[in-house]
Amino acid sequence: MNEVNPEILARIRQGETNLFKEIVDIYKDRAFSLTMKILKNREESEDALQESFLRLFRAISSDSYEAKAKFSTYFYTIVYNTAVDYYRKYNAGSFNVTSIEIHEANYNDGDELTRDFEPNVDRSLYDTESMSTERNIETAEVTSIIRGYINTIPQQYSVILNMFFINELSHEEISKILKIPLGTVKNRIFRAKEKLKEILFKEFNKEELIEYIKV
Amino acid sequence: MNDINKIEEFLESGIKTSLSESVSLDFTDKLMREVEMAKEFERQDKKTYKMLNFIIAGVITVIITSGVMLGYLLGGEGADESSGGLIAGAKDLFNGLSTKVFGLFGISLSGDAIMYVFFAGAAIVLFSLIDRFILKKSYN
Repeated sequence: MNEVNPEILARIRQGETNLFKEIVDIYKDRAFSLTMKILKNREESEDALQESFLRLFRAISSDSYEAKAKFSTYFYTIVYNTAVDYYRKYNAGSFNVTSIEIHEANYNDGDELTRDFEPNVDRSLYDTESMSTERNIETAEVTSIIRGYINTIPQQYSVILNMFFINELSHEEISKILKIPLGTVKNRIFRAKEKLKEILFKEFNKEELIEYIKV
Repeated sequence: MNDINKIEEFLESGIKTSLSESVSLDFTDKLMREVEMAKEFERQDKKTYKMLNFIIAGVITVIITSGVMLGYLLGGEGADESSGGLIAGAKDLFNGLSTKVFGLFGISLSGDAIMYVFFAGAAIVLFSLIDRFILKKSYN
C-alpha cells in the first residue's frame, strides 16, 4: 500500500493545505468501504469519513500525529473509532465487534456466517442429471454468490475482512485497532474464506469451478 | 501454481471486489472546503487565544503591581513594620543609589521616582513572565 510520504505531512503542517488532497485521494475509497461495513448507509458513511479526514487534518496540523506510528494504522484507527461513534449516534445499541450473537440451539461453528445468506443460483438453467457437463459456470453467478455472501456476513467478520483485504492492514494491526485477540482476527479471516469455499463447492461442481478459475 | 493456490487467489480477489466501495464524485471537493474552513477556524482561535492571553496577563500584572504599589504607599505613611519595613528599606537603598550614581551625572532623582520606575519595569517583566510561562503553556 502507498504509505504517505513524511515530507508531505511536514508541508501540510507548514500550511500547504492543498497537499492534504493527495492523502484523501489515496485513502478515500478504501476507508469508505470500512465505514460502509460499519454503518451500512452511504450518507452516514460519507459523513463519518469526512469527520475522520478532518480529525486527521487537525492531528497533522497540530503536530499531534507522531511519525513513530505507521500512518495507515493511525488513520484507520481514526476511521474505525469515528464510524463507531456515528453508529452509536444513529443506532440505539453500541457497536460490538467482539462477540457474535448465536440464537440457534443446534449451532455449528461458522453457522453465523450464512445466517442471512441464501445462494441464488438459477438451477433451472442446468441439466439436472449432470450439472457440470451441460452448462458452463457463468461469471455473473459466481460474482453474485460471493457478493451476496460478503454482504450478509455479520459485521464482526466483514469489518475484519475489509481491514485485511481492502485496507491492507496486518493481523497485528487489526488486532490493535479493534482491541481483540490476534487469534480471533486470524480465525475469522480463515473461517470466512473457508465458508465461502464451501458454498461455492456446494453450488458448483468442484472440477468445473477449478477449470473456470484457471481460465 | 497449484489448484489450491489458484482457488485461494480467486476467492481473495472475489472478496476484494465484493467489499470495494467508492465515495461520491464530489466527496473530495466537499471535504477540501471543510478542511479550508477548519484551517480558518484554527487561525481565528489562535488569534482569540493570543488576545485573551494579552488581556489576562495585563489584568494579573495590574492586580499584582497595584498591590505592591499600595503596600509601598501605605508603608511610606508609616504602616506596619513587616511590609512597610521592606519597602522603606528599598526606598532608602534607592535614595542612597540616587545620590551616589545619578549625582555623578549631575542628575537629581528622588527615591520615590526611582521606586516608580522600578515598579514599571517589574510590571513589564511580570507581564512577560505570565504571558510566556503560564498562559501560553496552558493554551498550547
